[in-house]
Amino acid sequence: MKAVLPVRAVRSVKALVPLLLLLATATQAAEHQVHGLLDLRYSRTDGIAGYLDGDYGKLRYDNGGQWSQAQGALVYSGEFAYNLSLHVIGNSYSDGVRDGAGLTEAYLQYRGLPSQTGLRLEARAGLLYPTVSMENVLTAWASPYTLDYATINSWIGEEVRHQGVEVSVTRLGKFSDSDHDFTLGAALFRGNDPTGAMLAWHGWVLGSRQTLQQETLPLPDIGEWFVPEVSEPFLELDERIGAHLTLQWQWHNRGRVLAGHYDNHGDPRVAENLQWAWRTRFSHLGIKWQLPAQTELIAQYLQGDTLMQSAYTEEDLVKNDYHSAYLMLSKQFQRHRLTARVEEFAVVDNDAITTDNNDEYGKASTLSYGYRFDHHWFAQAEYSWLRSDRPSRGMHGHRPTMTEQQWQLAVRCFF
Amino acid sequence: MLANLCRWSVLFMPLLCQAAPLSVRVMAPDATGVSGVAVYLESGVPMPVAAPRRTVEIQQKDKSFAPYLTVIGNNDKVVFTNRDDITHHIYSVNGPARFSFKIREGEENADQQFNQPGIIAMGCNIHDWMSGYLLVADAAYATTTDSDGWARFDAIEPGDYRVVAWHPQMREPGPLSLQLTVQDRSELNLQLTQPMAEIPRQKGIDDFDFLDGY
Repeated sequence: MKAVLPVRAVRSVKALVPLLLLLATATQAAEHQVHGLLDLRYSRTDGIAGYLDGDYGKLRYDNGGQWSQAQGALVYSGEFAYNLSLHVIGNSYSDGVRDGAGLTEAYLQYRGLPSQTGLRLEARAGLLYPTVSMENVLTAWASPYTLDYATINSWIGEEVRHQGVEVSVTRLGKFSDSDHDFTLGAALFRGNDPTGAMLAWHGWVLGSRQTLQQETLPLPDIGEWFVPEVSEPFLELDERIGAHLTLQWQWHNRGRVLAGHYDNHGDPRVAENLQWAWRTRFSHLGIKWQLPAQTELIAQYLQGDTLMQSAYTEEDLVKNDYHSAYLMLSKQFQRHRLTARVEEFAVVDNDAITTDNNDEYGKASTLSYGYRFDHHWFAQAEYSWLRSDRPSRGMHGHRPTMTEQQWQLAVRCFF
Repeated sequence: MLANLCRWSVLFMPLLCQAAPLSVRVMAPDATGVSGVAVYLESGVPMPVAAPRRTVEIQQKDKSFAPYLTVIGNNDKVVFTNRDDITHHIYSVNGPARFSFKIREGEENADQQFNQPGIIAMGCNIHDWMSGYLLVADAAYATTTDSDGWARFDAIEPGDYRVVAWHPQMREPGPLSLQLTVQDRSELNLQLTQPMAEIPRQKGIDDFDFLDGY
């Protein structure tokens, strides 16, 4: 490990350069705004030690009761001109499992005015989430619906983030008396080669934790030579550029549909200090639709594969297919919001290394009730049930098939 | 032609040469009043006395333009007022006035000059569902109808006018207007031949505070 540290230190400094440039740019901003979020939570978990601890538990908190600062976020926005702004999002967690504070996103954003025909160009450059989630829409990527994100977005928050440039063009329908807007987006990115490792080695999880840029993620002790102790999800190892294409259709006052394809273009044979470049690709489809009686339907489907190989023999060390889908209904009435979500997830291990079995299948249900005290303060109570079958757990002292449950009570303040 | 488009009735018109009140009711085909319709009076000759300058407020409230349609006449000016606790980015990229400005929480903006007559479609570049119209009329008098469909003018200089009603959602085959000679208190009706189209709902799909552009 000692040899690893200088490499990581150099990488950390390299990673900081764009950030320092962004912060230097911030001094030029004409106007500054800071807002944020504080989420204080009590959680009671009936399960095993969680994935944040490097174990096989699928929930954020370890077995038992836990008070936590589940999220503390500060968001800085600086505006230069009408169309150009800087956004820096920092998050902190004090959850007794893995405390920390750091960056989650930092980017420059350009949002042009529509043309006379209703075409608008937008761009973001920096440390970004890919545009996938249909539920993480609030300050610092929080969700208005549930405390824990769906498994798809828990994965995005854990290891699917990159340094990149995202450009999109929107055709606004109102310029031609149409109720339909279309947005075509394309992103090129780097700095996410190990993406896929967590999904392979601990599988899908249900959480509300976004990995901080400098964090390393502990992995279960699988006992294979090619499995590191921790994953560093935001490394650039192969100097190859990934791409993400999205298309969104929005029907005014009805809903929106987002589809996309993501490919990190990783070279699966490249590794440094057991941090591998994974060839991770997925397609995703999301829908948000307004139903009668102030009810919203939100659903997402994500399906993909990932590959990691030996540099010498080109043997497939990990070759997985994976998918996850959820369906969520959320109803608002006055100050109340009631949300129910069901989901299903799976990882299918297609490589020949049977001692590292990544097979997994599971289902989860979440019921969440939120109450709005005023503009800033919210209370939320949530119950999650998750049943999963993961044969590899059986080799590490746990039952392969298990049901985990979690009750959470949170007070959230947005400011 | 005009007679087919609208029915009008002048109810009361004694001969007195001084500024007189005028009330115009815009009615749907079923004779119910239509609110929020712009009504303005075009004069063929320059007005001897300028109508008093109005300052018309266009609010950004609950992430929408309020009112949806505003009309101003020759001597009127506009002030934009942001009643929300977030920033809006108001723009118009077509028509006689092209502008864009950001307006922050609680701010007012009276800097925009509207000298060219025409229809100005406005949007917000942060909240795409926001949609509002400003009609700049080459007219001595302009207002919008109230909840009962009445456009009320307190004091109209005697003379010949063309009374015009307009709304972005009107589906009339031509202008809804009529000629009128104002001499004293007058009341008249303008009736639509087609029901108006539905006004677009100014509401986003994600109707939350603290949305952060994701």
